[in-house]
Amino acid sequence: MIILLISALLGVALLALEIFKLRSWMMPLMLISFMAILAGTAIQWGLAENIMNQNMISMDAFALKGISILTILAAFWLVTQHKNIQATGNSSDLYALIAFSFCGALLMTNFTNLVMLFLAIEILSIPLYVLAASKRGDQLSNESGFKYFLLGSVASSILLFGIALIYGATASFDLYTIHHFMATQNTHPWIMVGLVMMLVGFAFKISAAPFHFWAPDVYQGAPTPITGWMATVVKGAAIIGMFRLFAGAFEGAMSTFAGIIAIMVTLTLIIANGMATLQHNVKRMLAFSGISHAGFLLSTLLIPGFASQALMFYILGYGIASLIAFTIMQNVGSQIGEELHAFEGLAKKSPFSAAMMTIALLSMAGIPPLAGFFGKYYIISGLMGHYTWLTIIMVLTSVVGMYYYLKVIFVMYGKSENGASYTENGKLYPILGAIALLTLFAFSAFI
Amino acid sequence: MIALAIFSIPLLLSLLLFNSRSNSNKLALTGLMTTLVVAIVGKVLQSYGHIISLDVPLIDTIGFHFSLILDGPAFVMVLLTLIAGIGILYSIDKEIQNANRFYAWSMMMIAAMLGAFMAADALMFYLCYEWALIPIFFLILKWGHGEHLSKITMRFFLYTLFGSLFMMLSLLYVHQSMAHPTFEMNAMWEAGKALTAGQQGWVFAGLFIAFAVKMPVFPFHSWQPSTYDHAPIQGTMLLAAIMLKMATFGLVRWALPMVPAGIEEHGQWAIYLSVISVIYASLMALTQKRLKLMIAYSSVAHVGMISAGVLSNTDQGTVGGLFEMFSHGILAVAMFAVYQMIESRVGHDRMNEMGGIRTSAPSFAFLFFILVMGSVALPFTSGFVGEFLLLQSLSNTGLGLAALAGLSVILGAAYMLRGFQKMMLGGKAIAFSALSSKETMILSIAVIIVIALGIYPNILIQLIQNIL
Repeated sequence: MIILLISALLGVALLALEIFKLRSWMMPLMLISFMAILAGTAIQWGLAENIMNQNMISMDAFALKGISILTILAAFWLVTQHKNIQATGNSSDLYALIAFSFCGALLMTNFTNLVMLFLAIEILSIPLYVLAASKRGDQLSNESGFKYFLLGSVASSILLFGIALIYGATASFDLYTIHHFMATQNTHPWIMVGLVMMLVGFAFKISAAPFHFWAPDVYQGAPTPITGWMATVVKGAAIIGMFRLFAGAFEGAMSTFAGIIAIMVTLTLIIANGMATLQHNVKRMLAFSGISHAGFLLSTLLIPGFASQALMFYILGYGIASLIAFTIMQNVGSQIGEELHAFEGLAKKSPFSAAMMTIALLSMAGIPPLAGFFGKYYIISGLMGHYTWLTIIMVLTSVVGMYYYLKVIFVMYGKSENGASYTENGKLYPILGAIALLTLFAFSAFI
Repeated sequence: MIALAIFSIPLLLSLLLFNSRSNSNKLALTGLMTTLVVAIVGKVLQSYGHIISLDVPLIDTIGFHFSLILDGPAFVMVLLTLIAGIGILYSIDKEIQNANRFYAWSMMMIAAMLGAFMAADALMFYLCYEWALIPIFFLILKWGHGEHLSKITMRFFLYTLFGSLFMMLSLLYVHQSMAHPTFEMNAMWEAGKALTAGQQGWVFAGLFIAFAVKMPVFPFHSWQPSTYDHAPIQGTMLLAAIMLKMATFGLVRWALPMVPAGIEEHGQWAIYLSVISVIYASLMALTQKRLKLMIAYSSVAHVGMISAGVLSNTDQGTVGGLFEMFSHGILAVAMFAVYQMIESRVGHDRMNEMGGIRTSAPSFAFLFFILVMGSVALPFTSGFVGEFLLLQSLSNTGLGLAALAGLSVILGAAYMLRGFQKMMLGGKAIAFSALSSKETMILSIAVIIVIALGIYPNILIQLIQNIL
């Protein structure tokens, strides 16, 4: 409970700091809060599952794992993006909105009630509509915010309709009651209809095909730090929430839904990887690559027994790699441009940035011994023998993925050079991230 | 612990070289020689009963061990990697740009390959197998030449990656069939054998695609000629002498013991492909006008022979395969070194436009001739022993197949001797300065190894059969 309180009060405190003109305290305060949240999870780790607040939330092992991973990602996001956020001039608003959205993300990991789920999604999403449009003068950013708002609210309402139908069938919002109902009673058609709607709503949120159309535009238009936040913490929270929902309440319906999910995963992988190869704008390419990773994340639902290790590891590995990529992307994007040729000869101008980008991209492509490989490994080994055909599709699309990641690496290390000048912007944190990508696999037993 | 030292000396040296500026060549060579001494001392100690292997559980939940062994096959490949590695780095004859990085990447690649050869854990093998791609990728991209370099590198990288991912699927399929999943070598072998022949056939198909791309075997070879052609010559040597041995070694270490029934009942197509590859590559070599491409295609032919012989799954096949891997590795380094010597003096490698080199450089022609003999598998050279054992093994599968593959010896003699004749003999004599002492040394050592192993093959055969 203390964890949620910290995260909720953080946003308010950040706004208060602005009033007292203590902007420089913001980043330390956020970091301290993240540390406190991590400490809180460490204290509760291993304690018996405690259901709190009239059966609304439950801090079980799954929730604690999810909270720690999202917090680590959020902290990493903060340290890598701090300078960029400061440079916008309205860091207090942005940080407060981020903090609120973070609070929603944490709620996504521990709800035990569909109402809480809906609240969590809204708390997570509403700040993002503003954040996506936060580059006020920029048309693309405005378009991004508007698109995200319209489609996101449609998705939310579909999700809400699904919840209502399920309530109609089971007369309860409580996950355990629904689970019990599904196990003992005959399946009511409304449940199936409701479930499909919830699936659609979630597919929107994690940008799985065929509900991914908003993602490239929104990711490309939003300011890069915000894109980084959306692609990592928000996506991670959404898939954790979805996992919790399906593992907690709808286990019984999975036999019916596994097929639909498998098809969605296939579509996502094929469309996203195929589209990404056509992009000339690196940020947009990263957006499509993010969609393809959503396909991998979604496929963890199919692993028998709802083993959450694969999911958690993938979120962490993918999250760190994308945050590094978006950090370099932001540096290059603000100084040279976002197109592929802006990266020409980056290795000569800044061997450091090029090396970090390379490590991040190779990890996303799944090259051992980086974390991305082990993420894919856990998922594929979980699916092997149950969905062998899906693993073959995953492998084939990974090769396609390798192609567009390599394109960037080639351009960076190639012979031609882009004339524009480039300066480094902070070295320490990307290095930490790269080390994490190299060593993360050793900790996968704890995740 | 000694196994760990063999793996980590090149690796640490590579990290050191990334940050050093001076005298990278000497540092790298000294490192490799130290590793070679350590490996030999380790093997001797092992024969006196010391335990030099290493087994550290890394991820318990999936049974991933950091596990290195130095049994007969592994030791032979480690020897090859180190000897060939020394030869490759020693053969550099001109200043390289960013030399320290060049050596660092080479050393990292050697470390990865040593890891793959010594791995006693399937995942560890896979990791090293893939990891070796990254250094060679940068070696080709940064030090290669030619107009379409990035396209060629991309094709090479994607092709081999595509193949090895299928190996991962196969290994995972075997892994998940166990009650207590582990990647430990013996457990993987047992679990693989426990599958039905049909399942084993699929597992083998996945493994073979990975290995076939790397070797390469027809029809998966299309990346190879252009990559060999445009890579820096030392990169080509690394690829031909050592890297493709990871694939043939993978057949011996992983495919044969894990899915024997699958190969027996559903894997014969792989033998046919390998034999086709032998013939096809020999014919292609016959039509080449450039020395480098001819050597590249001859390499494909030899590897196809290794693959066909090994897959026949007899003792001679395994021993002959490992023997031929060693012999081919040494010969590949020497042949590409010959190419480098000719190319740096003549300025091109078009065989038709050369002639009479023997009159200007008789000792060079002599050494080259013995290498050619080794390459066409003349008796009393190492090539003969390997090919003979492989053909004998292949004849157990089918005499016709063995006869077809045996054609490669004739074809090999045809293209090799024709090439030799065009360049070395003939009336018009082109200017050709004598070999430097360094170049003579490289070729002489290769010649000594080729002849010594041809006359007394038992040294190597006993090492191979020594399963400790």
